[in-house]
Amino acid sequence: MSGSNETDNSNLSGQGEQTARLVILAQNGDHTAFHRLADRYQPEIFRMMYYRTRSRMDAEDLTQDVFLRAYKQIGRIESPALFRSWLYRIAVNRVKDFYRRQRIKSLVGWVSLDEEGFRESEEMVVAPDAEERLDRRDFWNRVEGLLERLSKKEREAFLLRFFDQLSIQEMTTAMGKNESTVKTHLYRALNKIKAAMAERPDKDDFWESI
Amino acid sequence: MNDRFEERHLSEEEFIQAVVERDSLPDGLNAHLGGCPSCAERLRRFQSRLADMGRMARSSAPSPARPFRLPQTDRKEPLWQRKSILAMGVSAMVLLAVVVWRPAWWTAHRSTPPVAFDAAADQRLMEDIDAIVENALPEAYQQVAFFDTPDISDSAGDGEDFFDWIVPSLDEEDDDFLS
Repeated sequence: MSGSNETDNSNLSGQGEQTARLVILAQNGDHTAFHRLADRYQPEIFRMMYYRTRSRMDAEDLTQDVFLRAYKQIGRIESPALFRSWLYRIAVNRVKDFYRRQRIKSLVGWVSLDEEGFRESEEMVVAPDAEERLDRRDFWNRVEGLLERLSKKEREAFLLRFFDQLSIQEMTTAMGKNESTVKTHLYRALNKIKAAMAERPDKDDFWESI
Repeated sequence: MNDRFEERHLSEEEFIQAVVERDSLPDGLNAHLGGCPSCAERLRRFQSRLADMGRMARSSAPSPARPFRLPQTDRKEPLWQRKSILAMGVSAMVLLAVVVWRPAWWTAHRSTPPVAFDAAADQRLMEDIDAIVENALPEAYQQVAFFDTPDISDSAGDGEDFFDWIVPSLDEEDDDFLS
């Protein structure tokens, strides 16, 4: 067990070193290095966007935007090892901007915030199999039910920690908050989620299904 | 102090605190968690369910359709290349200014050639000379002069007829002769 952990840690530190090297190369204008960074982190940033927008198209656009901004601002990174959390910081800000724009558009009447129909059509592309689609929809409905109970900050902290798998340290960079604040948001989020579970008579089934 | 903590199971708040970050628990509680199979199992189950939720989210999410590639226009060119492009741009602007703006300025200031100016001045001078030849007096004096001068225009013909009667013109004789 401990041997396995040591291997994982050495792999992680190796990956971190490689990322740092690529960041330095990209800072010096090496496009290939930046493309390699993008290839490495694009899937997780895309998923991160999808968790928050539940739209494949929006997730695609936002992900492209995140990497474009990252490329333009990569010279500002002082610690190349923090590239991942810095990337999440850009992504978190882009999601905020996205929802701000959506709210403005909905106020003007350009878009409706109720996009269930659109999501269903997108889910057909993601999961063409009807049963699988139902499972996915059911899962996301449950997750949304939980997340609705949280404030914006608590929701972000919860998603970053348990969906995006960021460490507390990485979360501080991604959220732009100090460690104590991040832990407080996370603690409150977990407290509310536990309370929500306790309210459900079929709480075990609910958690088992998750 | 630590012993007192180790005697009891973790409360709900402490349990959540352990999920957030186990190291943030007081040493006594941390030691209890390490030694109590019941609390350890509760913590493990809660953490694994949260991890399962993350795993299910990942499996339920699609993959990006296309890899990210920098657009051509957003690629940063090397410094020397950017400088040469800038220099070429500036040169082109200067050339454009010389070709387009300068002749326009030149033409604007030389639209009437000097020869044309001279010809017009000559023309005006000649008109003035002609006017003086016709009427040497200034216009104000011309009327006065006309009042004092007898009008001989009507009698001019008579005078010629009279002199022609006294001294017949040779031309007329020639004319008669010829005719």
